[in-house]
Amino acid sequence: MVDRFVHESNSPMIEMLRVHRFFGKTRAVNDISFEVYRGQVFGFIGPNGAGKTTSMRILSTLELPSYGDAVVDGFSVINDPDLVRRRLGFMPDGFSMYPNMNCVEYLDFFARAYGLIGKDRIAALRRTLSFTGLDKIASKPITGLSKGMRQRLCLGRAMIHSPAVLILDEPANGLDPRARIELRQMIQQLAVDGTTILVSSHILTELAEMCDQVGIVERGRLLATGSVADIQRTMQGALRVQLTAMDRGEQLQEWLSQRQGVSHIQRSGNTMSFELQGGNLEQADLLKGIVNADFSIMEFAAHRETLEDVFMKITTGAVQ
Amino acid sequence: MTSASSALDSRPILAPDQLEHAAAIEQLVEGETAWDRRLISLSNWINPILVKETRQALKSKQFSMTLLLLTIVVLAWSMMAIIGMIPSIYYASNGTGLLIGYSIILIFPSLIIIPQAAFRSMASELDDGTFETLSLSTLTPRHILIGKLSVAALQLLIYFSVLAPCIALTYLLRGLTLDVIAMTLILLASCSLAVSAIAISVAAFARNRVQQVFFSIVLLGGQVFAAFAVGSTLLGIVSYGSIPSESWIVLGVFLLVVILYSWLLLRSAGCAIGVASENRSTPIRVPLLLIGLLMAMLTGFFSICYGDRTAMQDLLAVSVNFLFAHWAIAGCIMMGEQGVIPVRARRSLPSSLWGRLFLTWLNPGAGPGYLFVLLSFMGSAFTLVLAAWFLLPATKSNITIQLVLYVAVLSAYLALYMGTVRLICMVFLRRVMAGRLVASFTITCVLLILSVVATLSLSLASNRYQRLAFDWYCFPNLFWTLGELYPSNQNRWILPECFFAVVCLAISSAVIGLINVALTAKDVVVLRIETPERVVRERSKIRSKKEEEDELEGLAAE
Repeated sequence: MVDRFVHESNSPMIEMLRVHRFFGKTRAVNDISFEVYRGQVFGFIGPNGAGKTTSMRILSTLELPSYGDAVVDGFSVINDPDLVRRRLGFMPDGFSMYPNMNCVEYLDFFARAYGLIGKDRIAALRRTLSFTGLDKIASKPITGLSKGMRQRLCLGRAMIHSPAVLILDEPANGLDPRARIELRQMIQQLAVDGTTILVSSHILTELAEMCDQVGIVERGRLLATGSVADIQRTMQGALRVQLTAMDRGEQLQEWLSQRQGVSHIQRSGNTMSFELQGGNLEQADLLKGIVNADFSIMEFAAHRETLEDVFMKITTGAVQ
Repeated sequence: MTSASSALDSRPILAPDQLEHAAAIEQLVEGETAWDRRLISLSNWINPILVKETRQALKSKQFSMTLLLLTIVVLAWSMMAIIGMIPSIYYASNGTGLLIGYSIILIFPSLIIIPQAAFRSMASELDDGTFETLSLSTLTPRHILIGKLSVAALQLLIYFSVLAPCIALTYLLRGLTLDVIAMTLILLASCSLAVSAIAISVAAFARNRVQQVFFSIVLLGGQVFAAFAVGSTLLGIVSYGSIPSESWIVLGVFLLVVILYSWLLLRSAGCAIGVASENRSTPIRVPLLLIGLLMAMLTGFFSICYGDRTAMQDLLAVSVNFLFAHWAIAGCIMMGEQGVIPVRARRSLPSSLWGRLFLTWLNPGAGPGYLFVLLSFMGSAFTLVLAAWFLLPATKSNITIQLVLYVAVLSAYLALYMGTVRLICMVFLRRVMAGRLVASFTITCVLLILSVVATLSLSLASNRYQRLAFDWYCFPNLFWTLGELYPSNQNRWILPECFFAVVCLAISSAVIGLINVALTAKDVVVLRIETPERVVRERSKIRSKKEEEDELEGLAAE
């Protein structure tokens, strides 16, 4: 394994400290702050033009913030970009490849560009080719690669020097379901190996599955941040419960209307839906109460809001 | 069944295409033979850009087509020329005509194709976004630019090698000396590399598609001009048939100038594509100063060695004008620099008394730049002129006080124009971040044009539109005033209009100069800040790791 330029401490691997970025009058990034710790996958969610790519480019030292600073493993992207770059792998949204090269030559060039020589370079090449599954098409010209394979190659390029932090901008964009699942598995594997990953995507279900934390951003502002469950809990006012009784629907409705925390009851025969304030405990308590009240229940389902629901609730869809 | 054969049987069976891919990896990372392994070990030391570009270039259609065409044209010319020479080929000197043909053929790939390919290579990196991924690696802008230039050199070498047997043939056909052939090839190669360096630098400066198109057209025009200039020079050299010893000195000086300015240009381009928070000014000022000093020494040396008594003053005036142009162009661009020194740049500011005393002028910013340019020009020009005036015997020199005054006038113009441009930039470009250097250069050009137009109009108006006559109010017109006060026009200085023009110039430049010096105070008092301990530790760790790797690689190569 190649040496990772990382210091041993419990401080965050990525810190955005009140980052602002203005393009004329447009505030592409407007006071964004968050932290990501080692081995975490942080999902960056937001509509087009929300400031995700600009934030990622600032973290990758490709843009300078107008105000604030971003820190990677304790090094400022403004003052020590060279040290940040040693720790960083960046996979941009749109990428182009060099013509007249095959996969292994492409990766070999970047291995050399990252200063890997001799056995280290050979080991890095083998590891990357095998991890990304490109070893089966190593001598294939880049121009003939499918979109999925190009994404793999781009990921391979970003991770060739075993960076401690990977920044992936829309990595699953335009991929078929199989390629997307494989990419997700690769990202999860990298996180298990200790790589800190910042990933942006439009496919929210996918982010919900692989991210430890997410940040929802719109018009350059970070609207919510935390784990997916935390955000769901915070944003969700009440649980929507659907219930089907064997019989005595009317009595059950009356019984429910007397319960604390239950509201908005709608009944259709023996099936009813209502809102329940609280979390899992209140849900279990209610079910126990219904059974103790001698009602026969055929179906009981509590519907939690998905990340998509939360995203739609938080964002307005406005662009700058 | 033995254990070896069972191990063989348990290996995964690979399909033919998978075997091919596996072989490609093996060949690339380990090589097939000991010779391959040695080459791979050598390639670890070479600039990665050179390795990549060579792989790309050798597979590209452009390279193959050029090589093919070159070979065909060279063969065709050789056959045609030899057929035309028969029967005199056995006794007459026919090498000259043949070499002229080869030189003309070589000019096209050397001065047109290679620089254009270098330009496209750099421009497409920036255009396609591959430069960003490249800049995130440990490669510095210097590595990238030198790598691109090395590829141009390699292509040139390949094209030259195609012609090597033909050039040997020209020598065998008599009429040419070895030094003519050597000078032809050296001149062609150096011009090709210089134009390639310009092309790469220009591509690095282009920030968008429009600029790229504009620069590529300008570059192509320059290339065509260079091709004609080099072609006619080569024609002269080859036709003359022998090389006087002075020509080697001229070639040496020419090469030195070309190398130094290419170095300066590549450094500037490196700074333009480098990290924005980096100190991008000092790395350019150091070569600028070195080139200025070297040019002062060289021009002085040649004026003294080769100039006779009557021409001495004119030769030194030309040298001083050259120095003025060098510093004025650099200065008017420098005036667009921002006054804020980034934290990263402040870590490398001089901290000792002597360092602050002598090196503060190398700090980034228009303020230190103003003093740097002014002092460098005045230092080098006055030293050159005064040394020649006092040290040369009267039999050798005709230098008068006029030349010293001329240098003073040039210094005053530098102070006046640079100072005015700086003040304009400070007022109008306060919030502008990008394109400041181009803006300050443009402002200088506009000021110069305005001064010429205004003074000519004034002069015409005051003479009832009958004639143009220099008067004291024409002092902002740099070209006219310098023409009037040129050292060879000795009696002009005592005329009232010239005298008052000089007085006005002195007063205005002193006022502007003092304002600028006062404004520079805040840039000069900026103090160095210490580099954080962890950053220092990290850098030393990287250095020691690199040294260790180099050592291991060296041992492996042995």
